[in-house]
Amino acid sequence: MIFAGIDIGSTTTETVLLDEKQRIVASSWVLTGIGLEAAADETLQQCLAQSGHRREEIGYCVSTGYGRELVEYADSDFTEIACHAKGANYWFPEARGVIDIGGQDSKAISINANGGIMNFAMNDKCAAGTGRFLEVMARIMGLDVEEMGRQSLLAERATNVSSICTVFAESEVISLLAKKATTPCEIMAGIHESVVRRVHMLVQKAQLSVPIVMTGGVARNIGVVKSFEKVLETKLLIPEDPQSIGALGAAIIAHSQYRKKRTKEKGSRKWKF
Amino acid sequence: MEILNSDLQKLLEEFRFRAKNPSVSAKAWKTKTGGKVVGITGLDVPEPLIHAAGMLPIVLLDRDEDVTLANEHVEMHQCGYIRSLVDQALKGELSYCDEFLFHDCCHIVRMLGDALHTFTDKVKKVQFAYFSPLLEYDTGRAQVIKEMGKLKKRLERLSGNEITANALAASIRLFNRQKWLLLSLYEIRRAYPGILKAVEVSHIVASGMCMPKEEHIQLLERLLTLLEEEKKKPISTNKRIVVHGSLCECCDDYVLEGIEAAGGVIVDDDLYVGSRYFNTLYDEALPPLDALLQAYWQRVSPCPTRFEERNPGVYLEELLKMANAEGIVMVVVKFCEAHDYYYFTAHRYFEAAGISELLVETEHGSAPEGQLKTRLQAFIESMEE
Repeated sequence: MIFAGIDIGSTTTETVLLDEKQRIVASSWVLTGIGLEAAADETLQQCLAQSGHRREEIGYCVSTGYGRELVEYADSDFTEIACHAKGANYWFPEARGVIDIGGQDSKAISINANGGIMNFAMNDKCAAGTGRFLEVMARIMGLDVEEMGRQSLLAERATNVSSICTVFAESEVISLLAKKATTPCEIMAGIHESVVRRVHMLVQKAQLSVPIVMTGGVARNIGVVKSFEKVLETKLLIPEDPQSIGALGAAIIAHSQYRKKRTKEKGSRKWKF
Repeated sequence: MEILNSDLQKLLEEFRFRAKNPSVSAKAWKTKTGGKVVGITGLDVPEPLIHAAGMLPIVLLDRDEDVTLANEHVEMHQCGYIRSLVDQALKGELSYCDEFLFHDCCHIVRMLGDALHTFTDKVKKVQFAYFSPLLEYDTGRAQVIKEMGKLKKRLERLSGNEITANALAASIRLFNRQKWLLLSLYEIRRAYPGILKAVEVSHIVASGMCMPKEEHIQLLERLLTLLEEEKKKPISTNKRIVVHGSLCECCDDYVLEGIEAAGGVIVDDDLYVGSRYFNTLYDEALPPLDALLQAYWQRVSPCPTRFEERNPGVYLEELLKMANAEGIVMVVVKFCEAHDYYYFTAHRYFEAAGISELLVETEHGSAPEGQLKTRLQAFIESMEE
């Protein structure tokens, strides 16, 4: 028996499979693109191939992310907030806060010892402070997001990128590059600080306690991580594969939902007798 | 929830139609009676006084349509309710109103008075009811008594009819009847969660704000009879939620529907188009004008535009207890500073009391449904922990 968690995000789709002892047996990701269901299927197939399991062996499947309702074969769907909380708790049971910066949204989640949601805050009307913002900036710099993170650490100071709007910030950065009064590394550091300023508001709103785990693809950007650690005055915990934490959490929930279902079934059988 | 019977569905459609088309009810009433229609805003306009003068009070509600013509006159960062009303007026949709009477509850409503007068129909001068918000002071009370008397005279002049004590007492009885029926409906809603969808309840209340009370009462009586059958059906076991907010306008349908789609069931509310409209009864034992004054001073729901010592959090906690609710969704309309401050007072109280609460900020013409859906579902999930 295995348990599947599928996270269809705006940028990437991930699937994680767990066995009955909650050990990760496979994980996979693809770019989401426009075919959300196809992306989910592809990652699931890859995971099944990796682990050598058959589809019929999936005891319970939970979907999450913005495309969570599109996975027809999922037994239930949960928000990425609940899933990131569970996934972060899996790797770091001592954690009491989660910062998840995804493709188009950012979340700060306060969690308890079981990975349950205590409080949360997320951006709702603007993509500033998200992975998309960094992607746009990295494109201007001619780098990928992770490399932009590494290069920003070479800066002695950060240039202030004041625009809140992603589109306006793009013009601002182009203008800064054209002026040549500041180095590209300093601008990159400023871009990271701009993201952190936005997400820090959510951290304050959700009243996060330490230790804090950072999840989502942006956790791979060392520049954002270091900038966050400076503002929060604490070291962030980064899981090995931060991008798959939502899918991992979904698989953990699938495992517990299956147990609940079984207990209920046993209970109802008892009544019949 | 099971499928509703067809009579109930027809009746609910009637409520929805009346709520969305106030001009139809108003024009029919005018044809029948020859009386004047008064468009009003604010909870504190004493509607029975207008009714007793032989006129029809219609509460002006915002519409869930894009604001287009008003953009020239009212900035995008102004209150969405006011923008919607100016837009409706510019499109000629408020032409069924013969007069406007607003409660002077905030500077934006005062601006609405100017905007309607200046940009739409210069003939119609907007009347204001100036009731002091200083409830704790004798001077404030004296001002309200004086203003109520003056308002009575102004309404008599507008209508050409004297407002007698008997006529006012009869109007008060009529309004109380509507309030009682709506209170009964909410009692059923608390006892049989999910018996009606929140949007349906919103239409029921909204229609009662913008159609003749006599007709609305008939519809409500029929509704309560039909609901007897629905009570036999299974009730919702979803998380019991109370919704507060949208203090001057309709709570957006997508918010109410979103809460229910996320796994909640709305068992009570503290909304303008909701319990705030009808939860203060008039004391029929008092002289009628005094009953109106008392209703102003002793309104059940606290209001951010008044100077009063009550903490809104305490009131809402009581509401949650009465509805046996597990959490509250606070709907705050963007650009309403008064409600922003009021919200934080309640929020701090909820935090200290350990009450599950979610803030939803709405803006006219903007509905980020995807993000909201996630937030609402996560809120319900957090209550499972």
